[in-house]
Amino acid sequence: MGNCKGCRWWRPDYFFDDLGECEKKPGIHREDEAACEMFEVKKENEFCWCRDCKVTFHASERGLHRGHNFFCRTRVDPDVHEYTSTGD
Amino acid sequence: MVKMDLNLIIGGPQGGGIETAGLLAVKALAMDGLEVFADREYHSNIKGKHSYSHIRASDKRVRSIKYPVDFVAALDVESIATHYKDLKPGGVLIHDSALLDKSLLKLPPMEKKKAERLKAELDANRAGATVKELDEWLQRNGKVVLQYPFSKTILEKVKLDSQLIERAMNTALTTVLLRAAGMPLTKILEAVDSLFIDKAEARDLNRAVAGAVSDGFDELSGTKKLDIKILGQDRPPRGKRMLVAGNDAVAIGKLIGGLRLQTYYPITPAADESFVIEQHAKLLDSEGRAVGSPIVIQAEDEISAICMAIGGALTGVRSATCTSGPGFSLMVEGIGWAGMNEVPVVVTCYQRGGPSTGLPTRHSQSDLLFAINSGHGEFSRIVLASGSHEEAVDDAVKCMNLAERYQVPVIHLLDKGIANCVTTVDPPVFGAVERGKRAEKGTGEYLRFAFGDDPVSPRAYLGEELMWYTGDEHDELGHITEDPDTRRRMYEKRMAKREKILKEAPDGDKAVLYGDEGFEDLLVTWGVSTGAAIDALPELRSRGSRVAVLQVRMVEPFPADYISKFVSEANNVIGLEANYIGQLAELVGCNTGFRIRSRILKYTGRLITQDEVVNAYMRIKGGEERVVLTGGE
Amino acid sequence: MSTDWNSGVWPDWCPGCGNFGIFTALKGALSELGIMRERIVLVSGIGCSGKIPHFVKVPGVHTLHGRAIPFATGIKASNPELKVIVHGGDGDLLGIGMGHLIAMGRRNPDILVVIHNNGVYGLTKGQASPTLQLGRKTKSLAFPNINSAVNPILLGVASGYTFLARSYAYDIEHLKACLKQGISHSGAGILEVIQPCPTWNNLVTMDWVEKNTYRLKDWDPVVKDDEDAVRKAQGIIGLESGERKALGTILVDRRKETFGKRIASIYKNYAAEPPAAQRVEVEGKALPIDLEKTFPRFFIQ
Repeated sequence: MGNCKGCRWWRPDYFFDDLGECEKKPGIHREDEAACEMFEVKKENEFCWCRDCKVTFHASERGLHRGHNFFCRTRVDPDVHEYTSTGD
Repeated sequence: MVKMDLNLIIGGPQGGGIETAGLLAVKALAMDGLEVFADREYHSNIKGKHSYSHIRASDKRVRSIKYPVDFVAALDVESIATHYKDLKPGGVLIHDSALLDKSLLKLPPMEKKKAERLKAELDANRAGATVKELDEWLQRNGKVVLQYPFSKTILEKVKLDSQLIERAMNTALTTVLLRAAGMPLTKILEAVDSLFIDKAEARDLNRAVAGAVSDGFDELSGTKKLDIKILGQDRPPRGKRMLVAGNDAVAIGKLIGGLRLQTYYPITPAADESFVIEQHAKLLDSEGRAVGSPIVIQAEDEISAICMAIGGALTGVRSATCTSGPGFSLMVEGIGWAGMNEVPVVVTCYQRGGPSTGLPTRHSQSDLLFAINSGHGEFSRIVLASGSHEEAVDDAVKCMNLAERYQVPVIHLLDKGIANCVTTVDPPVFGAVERGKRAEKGTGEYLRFAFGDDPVSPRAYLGEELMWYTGDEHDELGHITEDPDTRRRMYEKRMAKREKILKEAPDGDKAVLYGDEGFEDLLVTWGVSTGAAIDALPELRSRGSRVAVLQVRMVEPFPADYISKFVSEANNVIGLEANYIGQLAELVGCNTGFRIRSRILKYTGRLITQDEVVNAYMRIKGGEERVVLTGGE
Repeated sequence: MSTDWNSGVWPDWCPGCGNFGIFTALKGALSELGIMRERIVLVSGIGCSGKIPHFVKVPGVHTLHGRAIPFATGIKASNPELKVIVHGGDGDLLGIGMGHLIAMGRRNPDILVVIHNNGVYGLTKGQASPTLQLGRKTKSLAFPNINSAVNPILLGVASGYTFLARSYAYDIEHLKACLKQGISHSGAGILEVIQPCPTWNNLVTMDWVEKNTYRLKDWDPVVKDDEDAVRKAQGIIGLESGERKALGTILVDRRKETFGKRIASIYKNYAAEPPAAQRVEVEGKALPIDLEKTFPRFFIQ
């Protein structure tokens, strides 16, 4: 059992939570897509991304995100700089 | 008794001690019980260019200078060439006889255009080309010339080290000048003692020089039949008075008012104020105990100066910075941050000739519109303009009180005239020092920018509570917000202060009327020009005019209702100020709807003088609308 | 617990931003140092890194672009009891704010400057910053960079800073130790933190950091005497000329007097009663200053 959401290699998109990319397989993968042969259980890294709080947090603050949906890789759109508006 | 109104010019090259000469004369006159107002004019130069003091002394308070003058004491040829025209009929020129053969046309430090004009004048008047020839021309035309052998006398009678040449010559010139005006030697020596109170050696030397030339004067004056007894009269004793330049006055005011952090970047004509604060870093009570001590930080630039001052203010310290036009231009971003963050900080701005580097050592009143609009966006600030030295002391305290009461940046607007002119004042009377609305401790989460009926929130200092400051729009806690509702309310909170300030300001902070309340003509002015206008009133009245002077003080927020009352009553309103546009006149116009058409303006970098106000007023009455003044060198 | 140090405001940095690492290490350092919360002041400039004071539960002053240092200097000089820490980006502190960075070295106030160095101006779409090498082209640049880079550590040596260190945003223990050391140091310090910026700078990745930085070993940063100071300076030039960037404490000079001590040497009352400690009025009236005693030179005899 299992799906992409629980897999170590799946990275959610920042904005479209249920979509993401896979480090092992190309293309877009939904979070509820069935686990494939590359499936490995999600590991907790030093830094993880909490989808619920929308922050990157350190292992020392894991307690604040108990029960949240967090992922330990984040997907950064390589072309994000082309369509982002300036912040300052 | 002859009405006492003595005007003297002492001129010489910069770096040659001419400043001390002027100061000695001013001291002597003040110690003699007279009221003094002295303008110091100097070039943006260390050595060689022309400088002079125009000193006015009277029985009663004077706030301006006037032409023509009774005496010109010239240390060099350029001073003779520059000021010979300033003498009134019967006026006296004093200079070293050693200058007689020198040419008036070979003066390298003199600017070419001025030299050309001088040559044209001399040719037109057939006044000659040497000092001797000019002296003869002057005497043919009703002036008195006193050629005194200064250098010869000093060398013969006083043992001098060569390094003291400048000091000796300046003291000699001033001594002869004061003797010629009737002051006894004893009084001159008292002034020498006072000027060199901390320097025994210099004092002794100058006493010797003064004595030597004074004897020589007695010998010489007999032959000249100089019979001027202006300064020879006995005067009733005066109460305690002070002799201050505007820089000194503001420094003293700030210290009385509780300033504890002054930041600055050196700039003319502001830096002296910071030096005075540095030199008086221990405030003493009557027992000689220290009751307070400020610190002064010299910043690496004006941007740092305003930012450091704001930082100090955040910790609850009364903080100020001090600058002139070019420095003020650099500070505006900081002023905006202070406005956005409701920080009580004072910026003292002494206007000088602009734009850009302009005339670093000369007078102007051309930063008014800039000061009230400084900083992008809209926020509340106060701009208060002092019109005299006495006012400047009280205003220095008032600016800090206002800053903390309303939690806004306050710009104390002054000018080179006030900064550098030296005058006699009564010792200031201490007033209130009010720290504004303070937060009470321990009442839950502290909101630095708390909303409420009062746009001014209770203030805690850094170190007392959790709080945040940011240049971004923020919520009550001080965190960044872009929420339109919070934005609107916070904006309104900041802007509501303007109305509150106007409502609570006493009339005297807004404007002051001098003269007849039943006036027909009204001179509307501000800054040091006020003095010339007030001094001109008696003469104008004696010519049948019913004229009063309205000095505007608070220019932001602008007290439109109060000013309207006066301008609507007058038959004729005339603007008087030292800039090109007539900035105050414009401000009155756009705030009250009342257009001031007649304007007397000056932008040469020299003070508006009493005689100029009288003449210009007559020209306005004669039908001219815009009178541009050009007097003084 | 470092969770006590979250203000509750949502940190709006991009996922994977190095600022999260600095934020974590800073909270840990403040927690372990045990300074009273209200006495800490974070002073920041403009940019992504400038937002950090809003996220930490201590007093914060988010100032103007490049101007955090003069604000901080004014705050510290007025109330020396406050622990003042500056946070700013490399664009903010080494570009527009460079003049103040140098001036601070001359004064040596007791303030640590943390430079969040990501090589770009993040908040304005990724322009080259003063630390981006000549010829480098990040994905956000149209052309390769035509300016050469400055080195904040070398600038620190030249300007008189008495604490210099470099760390990496994602090495929390190392960064926390550097922060603690820098904050505790009495004097002006620069802590340069290599900060990945996943949105704009595709050059400084975790891999790049692995290959191009190393932990300083066999290096004694403490200055013993004048001769040693010169040797250290030469040594630092050597260090910084290397292919890879050194991580660790690079300079600790305890010999120089802080700005506060220097002020105290000319304003004798400063140590006992700095400006913030002084009462300046009594019941709403001015203090009983005797004008003649205080300002004798202005009185006419």
